[in-house]
Amino acid sequence: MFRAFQYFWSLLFLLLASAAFASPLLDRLPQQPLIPPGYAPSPSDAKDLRGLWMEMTEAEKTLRRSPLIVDDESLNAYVKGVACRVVHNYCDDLRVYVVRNPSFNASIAPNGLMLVHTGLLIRMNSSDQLASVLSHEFVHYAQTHSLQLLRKAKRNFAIGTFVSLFGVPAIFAFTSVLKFNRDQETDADELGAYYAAAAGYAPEAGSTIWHLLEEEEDNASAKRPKGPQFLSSHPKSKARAAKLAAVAERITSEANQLNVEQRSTSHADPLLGVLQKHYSLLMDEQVQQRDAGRLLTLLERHEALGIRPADVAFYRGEAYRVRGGVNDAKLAIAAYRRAIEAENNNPNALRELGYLEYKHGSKETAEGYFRAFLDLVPNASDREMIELYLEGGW
Amino acid sequence: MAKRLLMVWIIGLAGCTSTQFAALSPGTVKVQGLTVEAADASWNKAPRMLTPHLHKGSQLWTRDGPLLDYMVLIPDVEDGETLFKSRSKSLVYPSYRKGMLPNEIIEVVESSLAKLSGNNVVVTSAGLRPYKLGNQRALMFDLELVDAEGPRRKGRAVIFVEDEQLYVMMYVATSLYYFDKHWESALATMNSAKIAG
Repeated sequence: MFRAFQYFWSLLFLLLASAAFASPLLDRLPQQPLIPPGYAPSPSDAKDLRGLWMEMTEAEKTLRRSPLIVDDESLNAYVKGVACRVVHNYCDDLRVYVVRNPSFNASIAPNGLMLVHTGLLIRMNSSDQLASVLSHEFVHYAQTHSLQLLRKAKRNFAIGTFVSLFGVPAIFAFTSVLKFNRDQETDADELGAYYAAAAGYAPEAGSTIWHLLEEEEDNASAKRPKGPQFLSSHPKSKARAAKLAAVAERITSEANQLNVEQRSTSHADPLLGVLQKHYSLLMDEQVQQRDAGRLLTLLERHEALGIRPADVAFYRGEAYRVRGGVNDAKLAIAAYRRAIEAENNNPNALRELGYLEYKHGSKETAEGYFRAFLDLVPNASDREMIELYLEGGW
Repeated sequence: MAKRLLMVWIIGLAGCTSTQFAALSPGTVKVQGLTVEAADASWNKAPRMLTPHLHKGSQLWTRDGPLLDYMVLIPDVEDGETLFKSRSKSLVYPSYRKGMLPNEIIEVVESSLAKLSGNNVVVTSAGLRPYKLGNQRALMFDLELVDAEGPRRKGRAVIFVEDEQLYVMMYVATSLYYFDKHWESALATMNSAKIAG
C-alpha cells in the first residue's frame, strides 16, 4: 500500500515539486521529493502512516510545552529562516525546535517536526554549515526516510515506552536511539547539498562540518569508541567529508553552467550575533561535559569567528580548570585575568579567580577577587560559602 | 525437556537476583563505609538490577517510587573514582579528585547527573553553603533537574570528605508536592550519617 502511495506521489509530483523550486539547480536533483509541499495524510493513505503521523503530532504537542525548548524569538527566527530558505515551498510543513542538549545532533520526524540541539548550533561556524545540516534533515523528510525508520521501529519497539527512570521522553529517546541507514544518510548528504546550493548556500559547507568534527574528535580528552566503518550507520567523518566535497564540486560546476548565483558570505553572517547572544547558555552546557580538548577546539574557532574576546578568554579559563593538569591552574588564572582585562566587572571570572587563587595561589589575592565578586553580585547563591573562605574557615 | 530445563534455570536466576524494592526497617542501615538511620518504615531500597549505574556500595532509596522521589547515598568515593558507573566507553563521568574545593565537587555532581540522563536532563546547582553533620564539616547545595516532558525536579545534597574520600547524599523529587513531602525524612537520614566504625 505504501509503495503504491510512494509511486503515485513520485509520478504526480515529480514535475510539480521541481517546478515549485526557484532554482534550476533543483531540476538536477538525483531524486525528486516523494511527498509534495503541504502534504498531510488523507483517509486513503495507509493506516499505519496515519497512525504514525498522529502519534508524532501528539508528541509534538507535549514537546511544545517542554522547558527544554529554547523559546528565544531571534534564535528561532534565525534557525527557521535558514531552514525555510533551503526547503523553499516546504517551509510551512516544517516546525523547527531548538532543544537544550549539548550533543551535536538534529533530527526530523515524518510529520515535519525538526529538532536542532543547542550543541549543534555552538559547533556551527557559518550559516552555510547550518543550511547544510538542515537541508540534510529535510531530505530525510522529503524522501520519507523517517517514516521508513519509524515503521521499522514500530516493528521492533513500542514507541512511547522509552521512558526511563530519569524521564527521557519518547521523542528524544527515539531520535537518539534509532538511526537512519547508511544509504539514507548518503542520499541525505547528496540531495541536501543540492537544496543548500539552490538556496545560495555554499555546498562545500557539509564537507567542512565533517572535517571540523573529525578535528574535534582528534582533540577530545575523552575519545568516542571507533568501530569498523561497515558497522556504522553513518559513514565515518573523513570518508563522508571526501564524498561531500566531491558532491559540492559537481554541484558548483552545475551551478556555474546554469548561472546560479551563490550567496555572498563576505558580509557579516547573522550566525555570529545569534551565538554571541546565547553564548553563556551554549557554552555552559559544553563546560558541563568536562572535556577540555573539545572546549579548547571550539574556542579556537569561536575566536576566529569573532566571538567577544572576554567570553572566549573566560571559557578558556574554564577549559583549563576542567582539564586540571599540572600547569592548568596557572593557565586558567591567566585566561580569567584576560577576560577581566577585556571586559571590566566580569563576575564569573572574578569568582573563579577567587577559588583558584585560594587553592593554588595567595589567600590575600583570593580575598580581593572574592570581595570584588560579592560587590558585583551581593545576592550570589554561594555567598555564605565565599564568606566562609573570607573568614579563612574552610 | 530442554525448554523445561531452561525455565528452571531462568527461575533460579530470578531467585538469585531480586527485582523487588525492599522495605527498610527503621534503624541503622550500613551503606558500605557509611551508616545512616532510616527514620521510619516508609523508605524502600531499590534492587541492584534496577540501578546498574550506581557505584559500588551505593544505594537508591525511595518512598513513593523513583519517578516521584529518590535519595541516593554514595559512600567512599576515592581519588580518581566517579560517582556513577559508566556502562559505555563513550560515557565518561568526571572523577572526584582529592583536594577538590567544594565548588569543584558540586560541578562533578552536576555533570555526573546530566551525563547519567544522557544529557536529556538539564541539571543546575546553586546555593552552595557550609553544613554541619554533627561534628563533621559538610556542605549542602540545591539542584534543579529539568527534562523535556516530566515534571520539574528539585534536589538537595549533603556532601563531606573524610580521609580524602567523598561521601554524597542526594535527595531528588518533583518540585510539586513530593520534594516537600519527604524532605524532612530525607534530611533526618542524611543528618544521621556516620562513618562506619
